[in-house]
Formats: sequence, structure tokens, C-alpha cells
Amino acid sequence: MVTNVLYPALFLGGLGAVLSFILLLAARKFAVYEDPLVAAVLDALPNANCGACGYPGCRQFALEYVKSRDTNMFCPPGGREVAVKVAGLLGLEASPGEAPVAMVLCLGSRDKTKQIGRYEGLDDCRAAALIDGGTKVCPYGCLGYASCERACDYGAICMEDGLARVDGEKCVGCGACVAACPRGIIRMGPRGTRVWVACSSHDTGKAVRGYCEVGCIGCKRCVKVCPDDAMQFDDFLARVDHEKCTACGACIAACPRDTIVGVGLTAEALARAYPPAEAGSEGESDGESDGGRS
Amino acid sequence: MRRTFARGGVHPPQRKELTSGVAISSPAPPAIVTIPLHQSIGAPARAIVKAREEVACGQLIAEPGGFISAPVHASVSGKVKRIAAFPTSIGPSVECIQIESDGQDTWVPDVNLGASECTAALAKSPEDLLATLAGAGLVGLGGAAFPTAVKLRPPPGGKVDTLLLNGAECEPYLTADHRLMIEEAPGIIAGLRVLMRVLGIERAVIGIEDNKPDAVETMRAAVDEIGGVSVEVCCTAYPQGAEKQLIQAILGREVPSGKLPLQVGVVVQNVATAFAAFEAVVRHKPLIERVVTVSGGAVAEPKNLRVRIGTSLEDLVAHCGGVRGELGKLIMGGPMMGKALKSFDIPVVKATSGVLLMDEVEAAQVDEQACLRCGRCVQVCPQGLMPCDLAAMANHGRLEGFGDGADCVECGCCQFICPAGRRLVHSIRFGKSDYRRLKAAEKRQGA
Amino acid sequence: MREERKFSVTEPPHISSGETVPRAMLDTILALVPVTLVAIYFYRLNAVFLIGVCLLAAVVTDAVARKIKGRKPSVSDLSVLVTGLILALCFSPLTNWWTAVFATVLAVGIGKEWMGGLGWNRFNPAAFGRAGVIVLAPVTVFLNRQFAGWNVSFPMSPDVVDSVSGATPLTMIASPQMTLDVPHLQLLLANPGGGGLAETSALALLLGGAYLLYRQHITWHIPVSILGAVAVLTTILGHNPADHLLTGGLMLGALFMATDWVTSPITDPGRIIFGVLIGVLVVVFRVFLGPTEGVAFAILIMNAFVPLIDRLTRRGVFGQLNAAKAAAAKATATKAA
Repeated sequence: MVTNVLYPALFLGGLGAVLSFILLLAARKFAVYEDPLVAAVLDALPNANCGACGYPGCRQFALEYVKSRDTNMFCPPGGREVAVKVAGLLGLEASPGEAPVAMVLCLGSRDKTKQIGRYEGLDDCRAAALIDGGTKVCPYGCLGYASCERACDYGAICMEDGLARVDGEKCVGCGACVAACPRGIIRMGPRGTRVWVACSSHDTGKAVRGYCEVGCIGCKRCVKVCPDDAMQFDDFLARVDHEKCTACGACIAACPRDTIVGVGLTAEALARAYPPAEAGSEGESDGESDGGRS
Repeated sequence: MRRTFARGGVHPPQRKELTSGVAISSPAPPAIVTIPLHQSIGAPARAIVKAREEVACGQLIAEPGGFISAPVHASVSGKVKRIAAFPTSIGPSVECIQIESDGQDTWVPDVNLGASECTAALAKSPEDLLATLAGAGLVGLGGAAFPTAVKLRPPPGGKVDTLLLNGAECEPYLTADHRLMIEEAPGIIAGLRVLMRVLGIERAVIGIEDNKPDAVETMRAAVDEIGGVSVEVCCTAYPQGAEKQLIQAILGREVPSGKLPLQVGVVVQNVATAFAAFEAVVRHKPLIERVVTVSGGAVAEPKNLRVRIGTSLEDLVAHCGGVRGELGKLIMGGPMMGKALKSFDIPVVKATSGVLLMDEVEAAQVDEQACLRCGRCVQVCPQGLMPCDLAAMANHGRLEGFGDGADCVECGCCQFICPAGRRLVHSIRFGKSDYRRLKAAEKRQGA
Repeated sequence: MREERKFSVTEPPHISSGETVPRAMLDTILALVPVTLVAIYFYRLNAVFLIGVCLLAAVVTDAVARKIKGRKPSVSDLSVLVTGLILALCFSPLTNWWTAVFATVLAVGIGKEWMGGLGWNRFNPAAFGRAGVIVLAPVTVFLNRQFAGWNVSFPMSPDVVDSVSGATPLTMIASPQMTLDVPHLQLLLANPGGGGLAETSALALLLGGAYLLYRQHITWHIPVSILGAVAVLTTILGHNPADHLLTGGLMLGALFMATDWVTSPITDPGRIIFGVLIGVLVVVFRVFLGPTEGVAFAILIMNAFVPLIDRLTRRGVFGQLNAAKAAAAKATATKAA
């Protein structure tokens, strides 16, 4: 009875001891030295391996960071907080900089744009783009088949009535959505951008009027009213120069098609952008939701 | 044993009986035509007329915009209304010349619509003939619309020994080539001899599927007295009419992956292209009209029509008694590879072999569900690919192993057979463009 | 805004063959009808009861498992019914109903739904359930105790009980002390003696397999290579191959379980490799490991290798094969010169 237990216990125990000794030898013999700082940096990173920094994963980023001691290397998901922490580990000063944020340059949801035909193909923007952009007449706008939503690892994009919307709080600036969009209407912009033209159409005003209620028609009113000369205009489309823009809200008020978006505006700018008569709930809610960020 | 290609293929319901017995009819030219400048593979043509200019039927209105490009001719006589972007089957906004017909149908001088004697024409030098074909705006009429003259000018070092005339017409519904072979056999043969003279070869084979016995008969009778030309019959199977498959079926030669048929000494031309070559050389008539099959369950009188390039589908369908019942899908081309259109406001182009109006039943699709790995797509792929794997790679953006996908000819066999209703062709198509972009990016990085 | 006339727009092709998954599953069920009828003829209500319990359990498990994942039941594609029916046909009419239910829950709940649902399951659900109850025998014993009072059974004529409760043909051939005392013809046509419901008639199974072949849902490669490998190997080992081909779950496994779309290779050479290796494993299990039902295990083991087999048996793309050959020929020619 005792031997029934004893022999297997001895045998297995002995086997374990021998094997662990071999493992020990192997670990000593084949050990590769690694800077403990790499492990520390790796620990401080989000370890999402998203690739937003341009390296295949967090480990490669950590190795390169420790090697180069380049504080300009930036982890977009980690943001400012991680940058400071990582630089601190190496006894360095974090360079100023923040993760960019994705912006969808289109406001043409299904109810505001002209559709033609009934798309029954694959539920993917890339497929829809192959047959003349699915059902949307606008050759520039959001197709609405959620390729960017699927590409986003952080759940920062959601589709609302056939239009992609970015949640700036959740967006870490990795740029995966930009690559996924066949129409190229998602741009990365500096975090804290407050005013931009949410349209990508280079069609003439007449053409845009024909298919979209909120597209830029190239009337240049925003260019005329801008006190800071921050509105650029080329190829039938207005664009905001973020360096010059002071987010005064004048262009938003001037735009006849509500194509210009403003978030995180000051109370004064809000009042100017959305005059009391039609102080839409849109502007206010945008202001609130963004208050915490800016 | 009847010939066919070695691997894969499907047997979709033919439905050719709707129009195969209907003789080609020629409706009166339309009141207005919209002629796209981009009708062939390659660069779009450049307009050389202005708005309000008077043009005659067959007059050159746009010249080639590059080496691989074809000129465009006015298909009615009248006044140029405007030159602007219109929705076409090529894209949602393509530069077009719109001509308002004066109802006279005056042709440019020198056109002889009744001529059929080709001895004199065939005596011309190959260079002259080639120039005539190029000037007439000939493109492959099978659907790809590759400029014929470019295809007939093999690069130095390429040796061609056989011309293969494609009369397979494997797409369901379509009978335009079928009717043309029955009604215009002598013309097709004359065109074939023109093409042979241009290529400087003595051997030509006409490949026809065995579902067109009457066409085989008339073509055999027509080639009777010409040496070096033979008519070969092959089994009915889709995609028999694909270049590489037809070469394998008829000549037993396998075109290497990623290469042109020239590699194995063959040039393939469609029967309709041969007929157009005959018209261009003997009748001096540029390519301004073609035979189009209008068919499907939602059209009142399915027909084969000889129509002017630029005729809108609205007019085309009106000639066929209009829409009957509920229209589910409007397709330009065949049901396997044609393009679904969003409206009738689209002009016929040189590549339009058919217009299908499918009713709701014909247009119904299988609901999509997860791939069951039944392997049917692998069995039917004529190119020997693994469509289910390629589609999965494309859908998930894992393109490292997508290399073979470049060989996909988008014939649609895999999606046709798929019991799970997977949209395999869609996925592979965008996979191909994603893969090209990935490779280009890698190349840039490497350089 | 205004919407234009609503034409459907999709990429080509615009027509489809009309083959659908439910149709294929229905065909599989139709293919199993002959053997089901033979089983019902011999075992009467016992067979009906067992099959009914398995089907019901399959449907309920599917609904519950999918509910947990927040999806709708997938009964409409009929695949769970195929799994339930095949499982029922694996069992002997004496099997307790809770064992059958337990196997079905394993098959549909874990083997299919937990592995991702139809199309994503790596292992054949029926084989998974069948093997599961063997591996988890202690659980079955536990269930036996719990449900002892619940045993529902139908009166069986005494001679049938005798034949069923004795040694099954499989145990006879697999154990060295016994010999098969049932004529082959009886095994082939109609044999009421022992084993699973599907063991009553090999011919009925073959009929079903022929129907599936005719409908092109399966190819000949897998069944022929499994049965061929078993026949050849048993002959080499000095057994009578017919003994092995006609007994146990081999016929059912080769025609209906190994040919499952989801869990078998998609290339023809791959299918042959897959089939031959299953055949080899079955013979190893039967001849060297004693009287066990090895078919389900053999199928499960080979299921795990399917992705590897698929990768190794990629076909040459059109125009690449001959080009490679030509290059090789040229190389040898230059070498010779």
C-alpha cells in the first residue's frame, strides 16, 4: 500500500528535480542580458500593442526608447501621463506633445444626403467604394458601412444614421481609422482643435446642393467673416488653419449650411456662433461634453 | 471528347432561350446620345469638338489620350449639346459628349454601309490595316474594352502563331455574339482575315460553346473555303469565355500566372470585335454601334438590338416594350460579371454586351452567414485559388498570404456556388486593391 | 432627402446557384432517413424515444447557448438537428436518456456554440458529444444515480433485449477471445443485434451517402479513403476487412461525421490525407487498444490537423504549375547540355 504511493512519488519527484536542474542550466547558459529599464518602461506603457507609435508593439517601443533616450517618441494611447512617467524612468524631461485626435470631415448622415439605389453588398466601406460608393450620390462623403468603427480598438467611433462619429474622450490618436477609410475623410488633428469644416467635397456648390444638405458649397462667407484670416479656401472647399484660428465662432454663424463644427467654445464664442434665436442644443451639448477635455 | 478548361467552373442556368431565337433588330437612332470619353481600358480620350458644333455620324469627336487609349466617334449626326460629367457605367461622373440628333443620320463621306467585298481591303499592308483599326476606335467588345490596335501590336520579341476568336459567350442570358455569328458570319470571317493579316499569321481558331449548334453550323459553312481557319466546339461551362480558360480549352496551352496570352503565342479577340474590324476596314465605318442583348425577367420583350453608342438605357428598354412587373436589379453586362446600376440614366458604351433587367426573384441573394468551409468555392475556382481563404484574409486585413489573389479574374464562380452566401468576390476585390497598396507602401519603405 | 428608384446594387455575380446551408442540412437529414427507419423498425418506440430526446435536447441547448451570447436560436439552418440525429444514431437503444441528453448538450453547447457557432467549430460536434460521454463516464455514472428514478423506457420484446444486451459485433471482433458470429450479409442489410442505432444497416447508410454524393454535398475522397485505409490495414494485419467495415460506428463516421463541411479539409488531396489517417487511427484503436469505439476519437484527432492539412495541400494556381514544370525542365535540359 505504501509502495503504491511511494514509488510514483519518488519517481515523479526525481524526474521533476532532474528536469528543473536542466532548465536551470539552460536559463544560465542561454540568458540574454536586458536592460531592466526596458521592463520598467514596458510596464509603464499601456501594453495595448496598437502600433500607433509606429513600432510593431509596446516592447519594440520600450527597447527603442531606452536605447535612443529620445523623448520625442510618443505613445498616443498613453498620452501625456505615460510620456511623463516613461521619461521620468530614464531621468529625462518629457517633451511637450499630445496625441492627435481623429476628426470625421463629413456631416452627411443618411437623412441629410441623397441616396440612390439599395446597397445589398458586403457590409464594408471598402466593398461599397468599389461600386461607385454604395448608394451615396456624394463622391466624397462618409459611406456609412462602419469600416472605421471595426478598425478602432478603443471603441471611439460609432455609426449614427450612416455617419461615423468620433468620441474625442476615447480616441487615443492611433490613426487606425484613417487607414481603414476608403474615402479618406478621417483626418488626425491636434487635440484641442475647436473649429473645423466637416466636409470633404470638392464638387461645385451646385452639385453639392443637389445631393447634400450640410455640405460645403464654396460660398466663402466664412472666409469673409473670419477676423483672424484663418479660413483657407481651395478647390471648392473651405479649411481652417488651426494655427491662426482663435475659435471666435464667427464662421459657424456665417455658414449657411451648418458645415462648420465647433467644440469646446467659450461662452462668448458660443453666443456668437449660435445666436440666441436658434441657440441649438447641438452647440451647448458639444460645449459641455468637451468642457472637461480643454 | 468535348474540350473544356481543366479546372473548376460552374453551370449557371443559361436562360439564353429568351433571346437566342430573336433576330437582331436595329431601332431608329435616338434623339440624344451621351458618349463617354472613357470607354476603354487606359487613358480617357480628349474631346476635339466644342458645344454647339455640328457633327456628322461617324465623325471623330475625341482623340486618344495616351498610348493605351481609343478614339471616340459621333454616333448620330446633329449638334453637340454639351460636354460635361455624367453618371456612366464606368463611374458616377465621367466626362461625356452629349449630341442632339438632327434626325438626318448623315454620315461622314467615304462610308459605304453596303460594302461586303473585302479582297481589295485585304490587299492593303498590315500597317495600313492596323492604322485603320486604331482610327476606327476599336476596342475588345467582349467586355474588357482593351484597345484592339494595342493588342494586335505585339511587343518586340513576342511571337504570335494563332489567333483565337472568342465565340464562347459563356455568360448566361447574353446572346448578342450568338446572333451575330448566325446573321453576320461572312462579315466576321472577313474581319478575322483582316486581323490575321495584321498579325501576319496563317492560323486561326474560332471557339464556340456547344449550346450554340446553329452558330457552329453557320460559322463552319462560312470558313469552309479558307485554309488555316477552323471552328472548334467546346463544352458549355462558365467561365469558358475568359481568355486564359478559352486558350486552355481550345489549344491546350496554359498561360503562365500574371502573364498575357502572348506568352504562349496567342491573341484572343471577340467575334464582335472581328465584325467591327470588317466594318472598319471594308465599310470605313468607325465603331459607333454594337449589338446589345436586352433580357431578363423584368423586360417585356427581350431582344437583341443593334444600338448606337451613347443611347441611354431608358431608350433601350423602351424599344423592348418597357419594364414588366417589379424590377429588382438593373445590370450592364452578364449576370456573373456585369455591373449593377442605380438608374436607367446611363449610356450604352462600347463594352456593353448586354443589359439585364432582373425581377425580384432573379435578383434574390442568399443570406450571408459564417463560412462553413465546405470547399465548394475551391472546387469551382477556374484559377485554382482558395477563395474562402482569400476572402477571410481580405476581410481581416491579414494580407501577408494574399499574393495568389492577384490571379483572381473575378469570374464569380465561388460566390455563385457558396451555400453560405458569402460575398467572396467583393472581399477579394478590395483585398486585391489593399494588397497592391500594401506592396506599394513596402516598396517605398524599402527604397 | 429624396431617394431615387430603389434598385438593388451589389457587386457581381448577381445570380446564385440556390444552394443554401439549410438545404444541405435537410439533404443530410434525408440521407439519414433510411437508417433511421431500419432502426425504428427493429427497436420500435425505444429508437423513436432516443431520437426524439436527442433532437429536443439539441434544439433546447442551441436556444439556451445562443441566448447566453445574445443571439437568436439557429434551428432554422437545421444543423443542430443533424447533430442531434447523428448522435442519437450512435447510441444503443438501451442507452439511458440522460446519457443521450448529456452527449447532445456537450455536442451542441460546447462542441458547436462555445467554439463559435456553425462555421467556427474546429471539432465535429457529433463526434465531440459521442467521445465526450465516453471520456466523462464518471459524470454519466453520476447522472445515472441522480436520475435513477426517472428512467423512462418502453417495453422491448425479450428476443430483442437479448440480442441488444449481449456483446456487440464490434466487441466480438475486437476482443481476442470472441469471434464474430453474425453473417456479413446480415450486418450489411439489417442486423438487430447490438451496437448503435446506425449499426442496424450498413446498406441504408451507404444509400444515404450515395444521396449526399449525388447532391454534391460531399465528395468521394473522405469516405473512400477512410474505408479503403481500414480495409487495407486490417487485411495486412490478418483480419477480415469486412468484419471491421461493417461493425461499430465506422460507416456512420466515414459517411456522415468525417465529411462534415466545417471540420474537414477543403482540398481534394487534403481530404484523402485526412481520410487515410482517420482510417489508420481507427484500426490502431480497434486492433491494439481493445474493443473501443475509436471512430469518434479518430475523427476528433484528425479534426485538429485540418488547418495544417489545408495549408500543406494548397493547390497550384492556374498558370503557376506548368510554369514551374517548364522551368524545371529547362534547368535539367541546360544541365544535360
